[in-house]
Amino acid sequence: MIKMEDEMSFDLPIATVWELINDKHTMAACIPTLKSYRIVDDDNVEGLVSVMLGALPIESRVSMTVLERNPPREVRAAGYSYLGEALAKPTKDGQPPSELKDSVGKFRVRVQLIPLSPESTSARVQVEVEAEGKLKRIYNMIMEKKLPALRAEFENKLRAAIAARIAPTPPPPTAGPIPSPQEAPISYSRWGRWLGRVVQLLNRLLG
Amino acid sequence: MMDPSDVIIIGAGHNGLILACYLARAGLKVTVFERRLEAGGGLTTEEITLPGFYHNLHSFFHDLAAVMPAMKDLELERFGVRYLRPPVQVGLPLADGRALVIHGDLEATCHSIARFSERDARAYRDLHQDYAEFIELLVLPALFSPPAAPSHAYAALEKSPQGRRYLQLCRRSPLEVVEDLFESEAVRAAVLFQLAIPRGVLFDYAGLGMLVPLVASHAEQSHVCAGGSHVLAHGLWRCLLASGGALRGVHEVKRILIEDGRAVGVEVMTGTGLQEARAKRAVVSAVDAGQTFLELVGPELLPEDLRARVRQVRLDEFSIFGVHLALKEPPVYSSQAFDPDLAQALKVAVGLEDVSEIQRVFQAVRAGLLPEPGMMFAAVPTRFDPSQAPAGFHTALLWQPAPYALKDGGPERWDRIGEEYADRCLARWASYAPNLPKAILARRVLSPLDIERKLVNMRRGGVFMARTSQDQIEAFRPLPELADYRTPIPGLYLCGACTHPGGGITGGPAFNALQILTEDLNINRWWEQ
Repeated sequence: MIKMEDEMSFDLPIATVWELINDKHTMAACIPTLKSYRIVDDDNVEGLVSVMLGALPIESRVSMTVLERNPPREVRAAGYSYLGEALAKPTKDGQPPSELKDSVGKFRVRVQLIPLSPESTSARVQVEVEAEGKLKRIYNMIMEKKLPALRAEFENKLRAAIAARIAPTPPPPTAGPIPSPQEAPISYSRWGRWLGRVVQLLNRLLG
Repeated sequence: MMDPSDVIIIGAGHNGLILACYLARAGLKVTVFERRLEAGGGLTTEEITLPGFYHNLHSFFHDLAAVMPAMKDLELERFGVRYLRPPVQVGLPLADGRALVIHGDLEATCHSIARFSERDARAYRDLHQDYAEFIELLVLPALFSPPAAPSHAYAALEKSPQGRRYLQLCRRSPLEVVEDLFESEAVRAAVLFQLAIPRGVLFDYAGLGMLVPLVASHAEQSHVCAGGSHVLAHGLWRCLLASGGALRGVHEVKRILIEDGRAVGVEVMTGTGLQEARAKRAVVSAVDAGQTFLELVGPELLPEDLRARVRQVRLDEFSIFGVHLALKEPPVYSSQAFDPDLAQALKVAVGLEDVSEIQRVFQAVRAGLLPEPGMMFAAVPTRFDPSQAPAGFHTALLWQPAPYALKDGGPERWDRIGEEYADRCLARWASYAPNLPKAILARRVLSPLDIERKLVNMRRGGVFMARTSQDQIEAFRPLPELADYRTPIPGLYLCGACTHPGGGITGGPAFNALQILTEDLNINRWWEQ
């Protein structure tokens, strides 16, 4: 199992951070490998992820289920990724159905918010990734190599989104099957991108 | 009857030994039966010319030593196994005095290629940059995973243009790919040279074009085992004993015992006659599918259609005619004046002026004819490991791809013509290294027939245990119904080179079979996954 833990602090009240991390569009825009997504219902999202290995994009489908929300302090989610044409419905705890045992990567996410002051909040993010089946070794190799850079990219995007206090405007979710990456890319609003860059620059200057 | 074991393994080649070590360390009582006195299969190092000159008769270099899980998991360094990686991997001397040199380092390789073609140097670098990470993170780990369903590769790649281009490349032959990518005959030949040995893949095997990016990725670097290949065999042997396992040499398995449809042990020929050895949990065969199902399992115990399909498993298309030399000095190539690094190349392609040499050699091999010496594989192990000869002296080996059964006279003809053919091979080598004839102190020929005589598992002198063709790799090796290391007989498994990822010293078949056995037998998984 690969475990990752990050802690970030924001100069925002806990309620604002809580609202933004529960905004599926905001979070979708922050996930580096997510090419497209579909909101199934309030607790379930499906998507298409793509990881570059050299010049080759390796694509797989992903399903995530929100397991528990304890506003405004904690949210837990679980999901899985799968190489294949269609995602089978996850089990109640977000896990893959048993027939997918040969090619599954499972993950669990826990985000805890801790108020540091009325106007600042710390977010502790814990991620566990575990692969099963014949592709386990491959999943693990890719995750071990790629996670550090993906983690940094996620943090940058999250900071930009939260600092902007404006949710990025990805294309509207589709009601039907997950579109191909060319049809429904994730994108920021121009205002959001500009403000995000300003915030990043300020962060660097201020250390 | 012998004391029962939890698991019996048939064959003490490196795959059988590796699996035995893992299982023994998991707490199982493991016994390995080996027909020969010496364990290790192709890991043989012997004094066959003069005292003090140790010759690696089969396996000589090991490409996956650095990434083989067994090295780390079994702590083989603790049992005396140490690897050396020569920085210069392949040398290709040409009759016109030039030489192409493939280094472990990409830039040094591109510099050498650029002396033949700037365009090819760029193409080689681009190929490396496009695929090196993909090969490191996906292709290499896949060697140490049970084969996934063929559809998974397509599912992961087919959605993107780059992925589809790669899938298209996969469908081509290596020759078609090098012709598309490179203009220089020397560059094309140098790449294709690295496919036949140690991968068993010939230039025109359709569906194996992806091996060209694999070569350019430099992910598989050839290593030599310090002290000779047998040191790996001995290290595994010591590891097995230290883990509580047992190895019975000169114990030939004659029959797999099957009761109520389940494999329960083996019948073994010992020094005192036939004896039964029982396995409480599994019998694992490290020998090839043919021996396992057509000789060791009675015909009444297997459906005839499976037996027929096992008979159809295609063996290697070529064998190797070898000449082992004791030398008073190493070969000095005329082309060293063009590129001094040639002297340090681990593997030298002798008599490979262009791709047509490869085609000519294998056209002859396929027809059962003696090829005019060419596309030969030459090496001087003592350049990198002086311990394999007395101080100041050297050993060398020369491998010529050759047919097992000669059209006129069959395999037995090798006994009559071996020495004369060795003269011709050495003469061709000497045309590139003029000092060679006077440097030879002694020599020994090992023909394709000699290979089969010594190592029964290398049937028809094939060193890869089954052809490495598109229809017999990954989820189809050796047959689709046997590709996950299980067999139709409960309790009987496969772990040898006839399974994925195939021949060569990788430990991959054993490690993958281990994962299946772990699942089926609920074994304590003490190693890192």
